[in-house]
Order: sequence, then C-alpha cells, then structure tokens
Amino acid sequence: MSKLKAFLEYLLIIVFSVLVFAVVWQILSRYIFNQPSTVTEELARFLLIWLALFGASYTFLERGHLSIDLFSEKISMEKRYILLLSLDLVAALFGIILTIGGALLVYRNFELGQLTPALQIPMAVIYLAAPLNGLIILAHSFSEFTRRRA
Amino acid sequence: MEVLVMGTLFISFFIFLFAGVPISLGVALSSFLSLLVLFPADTAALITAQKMMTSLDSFGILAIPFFILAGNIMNTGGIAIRLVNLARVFTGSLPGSLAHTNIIANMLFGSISGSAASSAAAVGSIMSPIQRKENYDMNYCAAINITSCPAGLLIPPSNVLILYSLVSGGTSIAALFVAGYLPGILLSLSLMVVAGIIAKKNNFPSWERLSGIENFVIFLRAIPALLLVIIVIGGIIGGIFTATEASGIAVVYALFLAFIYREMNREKLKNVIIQSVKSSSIVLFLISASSVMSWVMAIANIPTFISQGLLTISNEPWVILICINIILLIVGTFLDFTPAVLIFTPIFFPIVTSMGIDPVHFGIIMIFNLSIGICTPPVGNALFIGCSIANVKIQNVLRHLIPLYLVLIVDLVLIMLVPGISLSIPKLMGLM
Repeated sequence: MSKLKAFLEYLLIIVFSVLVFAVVWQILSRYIFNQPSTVTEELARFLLIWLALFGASYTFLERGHLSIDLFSEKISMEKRYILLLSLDLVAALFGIILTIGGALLVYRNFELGQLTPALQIPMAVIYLAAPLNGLIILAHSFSEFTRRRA
Repeated sequence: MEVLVMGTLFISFFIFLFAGVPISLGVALSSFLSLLVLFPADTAALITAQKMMTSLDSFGILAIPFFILAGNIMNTGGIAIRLVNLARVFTGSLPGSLAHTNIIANMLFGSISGSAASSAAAVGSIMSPIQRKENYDMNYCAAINITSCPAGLLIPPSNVLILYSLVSGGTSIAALFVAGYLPGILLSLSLMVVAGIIAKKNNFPSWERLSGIENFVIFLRAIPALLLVIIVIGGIIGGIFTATEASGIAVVYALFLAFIYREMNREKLKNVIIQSVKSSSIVLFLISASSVMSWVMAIANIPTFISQGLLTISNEPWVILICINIILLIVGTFLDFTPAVLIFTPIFFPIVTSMGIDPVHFGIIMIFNLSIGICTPPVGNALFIGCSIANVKIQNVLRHLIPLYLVLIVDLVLIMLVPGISLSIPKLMGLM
C-alpha cells in the first residue's frame, strides 16, 4: 500500500503540473496567438477527471475525506470495533460498485469505438480511471478490514 | 415508487452520514441504493459510474483546484504576515485593536484565497502569540477568529460561489463574485462593532502606534498580494477572461511571487501540490458523487415534492425563504458547506427561482447561511481549526461565540430582506 501511495503521489504531481501548463497554454494561445487551442482544452478536461479520481483514492488512503465522526468517539471499544469493521465493508461496497460500473462504462465506450474530438484518443482510456480507482478503494478497505481483524 | 426512491435515498444517506462514512461515499452509495429500486444492479452501477465521470468533464470546474493551488502557494510564501501587518495599519488605533486586526486580516486573506479554514489557520497562527502576550482572553480571540474567517467564502475569489454557479446551472460567476463583496464586508464590520464594545468593557490594550514611514513600508510590501486581486477579479468582472483562466493566472502569479520572495523550493512545492491535490479531490469527488444524487432526485421528482410540502405552509416567498434558511442553518451545524451546497442547491434552487427570487441573491443567502454552520458545533471546520490554533477548548469558547452567532444571524436576516446588499454592485457594473 505504501508503494501504491508513492506511485499515486508522483502520478498526481505530474497530472496537476501538466494541467497547469495546459490551461496556461490555452490562455496564451487565445490572447497572444489569437487561436484558441482545442487540444489543450480537451486535455485539461480529461486530466481533471484523472486528478479527481486518482486524487480521491489517494485521499482515501490518507483518510482525508470529510466525514462526521460524532458517534464513533462516544461508544464503547467493542461497539467501535464493530462500527469500524462495518465502515470498511461499506467502503469496499463502494469500491465494488465503482469497479463494476466503471468497467461496464469502459467496455461500452470501447465497443462504440468512441474517440475524443481533438486528441483522437479512445474515451475508454479516460474512463479507465473509474474501475482503477474502484479497485484501489476496494483493495485498501479490504486490507484495513483484515488488519483490524488480526 | 417515487416515495420508495426518496425514502431509500434519505434514510440510507443519514445512516451513512452519522455512522461516519466519508460524505462523498455516503452520497454515492445512497444514490446507488435508491437506483436499485428502479434498475437492476448492473445498470444502477453503470449509471452511478457514468454520472460520476461525466459530471467532472467540465472546463469550469477546473477553477476550483487551481484557486486551491494558488492559495496554498501563497500560504507558504509569507503572504499572511504581510496582510496581517496591512490590517494593523487600518485598525491599529481602535480599542481592542488586536481583535479588529484579526477580522480585517481574515477579510484581506479571503480576497486572495477562497477558503475560510485556511484563513483562520494562517491569520490565527500569526495573531495568537501576539494576543497572548498582550494578555487578551484567548477564548475570546479564538471566537473572533472563527466567526470572521467566513468572509473569505463571500469575498471573491470564492470556490464555494463557483460551486454554486455550477450546480445552479450556470448562474454568472462574475455577478456572484462581486455580489459577495458587501455581504463579506458587512460580516466583518458587524463583528468589529461587537468587538469594539467588548474591548471597551474589558479594557483590552491596542497595538503600539506605528510611524508614517512604517505604515508606508507595510503598504508597499502588501502590494504584490493585492495586485493579484486586481488581476484576477478585475479580469473576470471585466470579461477579459473566464474564472478558469483567471485561476490559472492566479497559480502562475503566486508561483512567480513565491520564487521572487525566495520562499519556495522543490521540496516545498511538492508538498504544496500534494496538499492541494488532497483538498481539491475532496471537493471534486463530492461534486462527482452528488451528481448521481441530484440525478436520482430529479427522476424521483424530489424538488417538486419538497416544494409542494413547503407551499402548504405558505404561498408567501418570504415565508418559504425563512423556512429554507432554518433548514440550512440546521443542516449547516453538522454538514460542511461543500456537500450542503451540492445536495441542497438542486432541491431549493427551482423552488426559489419559481417564486421570483434572484439566483444571485439566493446564492449569497445560501453561502452566508452555511458559513455560520462552519463556526458551530457539533461539526464546524472553522470552529475546530480556530480552537486548535489558539490552543483553547471548544466548551470555553462557546460562551464568547454565542453573541457573535447572534450578530451573524442578524446579518443573514439583513442580507435576506435587503436584496440590494447583494445585488447593487453587480447591477451597477452591468453584470445582471
């Protein structure tokens, strides 16, 4: 899991940096060269999807997402143990839904052979972010669950 | 059928929420479960994934991670101390001036960053040691810092206003941005009035006087930061560039400043990017998950259902608006403003606009309302951060917070009753 986290960190830094360059180039092309680049706008939109999804699963590994933990602090150790285990299962369920739903989405777009207008890459590649991050969330909740049980 | 969908959605959402499931996951899962009422499991999963992906495919949303990144770069670049000093110039001679400086610094910080919590952290961590040295009651200081930081949510650039613009179906960002100025200033000034009264009563000391030259130097040092406001907000209002383009420029400008001040290196930059990825993806993933929920709500006609419910109470727009505000105040006590805006805008927006309330006006009312929620227990981001920065206990701060909550509620009522507070500047500038 720690290797995965380090990999995600590098990936996200690259995605975010390219995103900044793409938008800056977009602005320059519009104002200085008077010819807005369609490639950079599309690239930026797709990188945003990757930033959001991979960023979300990275934040999930870091337990950074907003949540309300009013009750988990007030209940007994035993009940808390059960609550935490069920929270892992709920997260795993979400991982399964995102993996399966995402895989179906990728498969459909792959079958249709849909290409993006400017960059001409398959939409399926962009949507791959959904099942991949579903798997990351599933794997993390599974490892948390087994760690807690042990 | 609709009732079953709605029941599944709300009940499962509240169970997930209070059990401590991350809010974004809870939103997506409860939407999935209510889709199961209508579709087989594989279709429901496909719809969930599809809505989550397509909702992110938008150039407009890009402004959110960029403003977060720009704000974080400026935090490391020593901007906060320059703004605190500038606030001191304006407020130094007032009674109990350390509290006033805190309020104005939060306002200034809000005008370069779009986040209330980072403002409370940055300004609070500079002010706390000084306030402690001058023997201020730290519980009171924390209360002032907590309640004044939401000015940053109203004063542009504001990520939550961008969010509202997106979910309300394209309310003008430029109009929303300038509409936030007066309400943000109202919030700060009304808190200063109370702070002044409290300071007189308790004889809190003021800052030492500064000479004219010192004031001038402080002003000069703050100019680069203030210039960003002019470039970014001026550019958006003047129609020179879009909010997304402006946010890109803000990133480049912040980087430029940080390197000029020699306060940035590779290691710091790496941390800033990772930190920004985290804050951004929390918001982006919430946008993504809520899009499934708002789709489910639309097919189950939930907004219509709720508006019919509200209309049985009264036909009077003001009564409905007051009901909505009471609901939002309650929601705000436990839910952060980002999920609250994402979940409740699709429900309330059609109701209020059909009653003839201006979308920009409603946006400002909603954000002002929800920003009170971040200062209140049981869950309040600003409350938690403000107390931990000042190193005080929440239960001790509450006594000082209660009169300030009342001030904020009076402000909210004013903003609700007098549309001009929000709308006069955008109208004056021809933005609406």
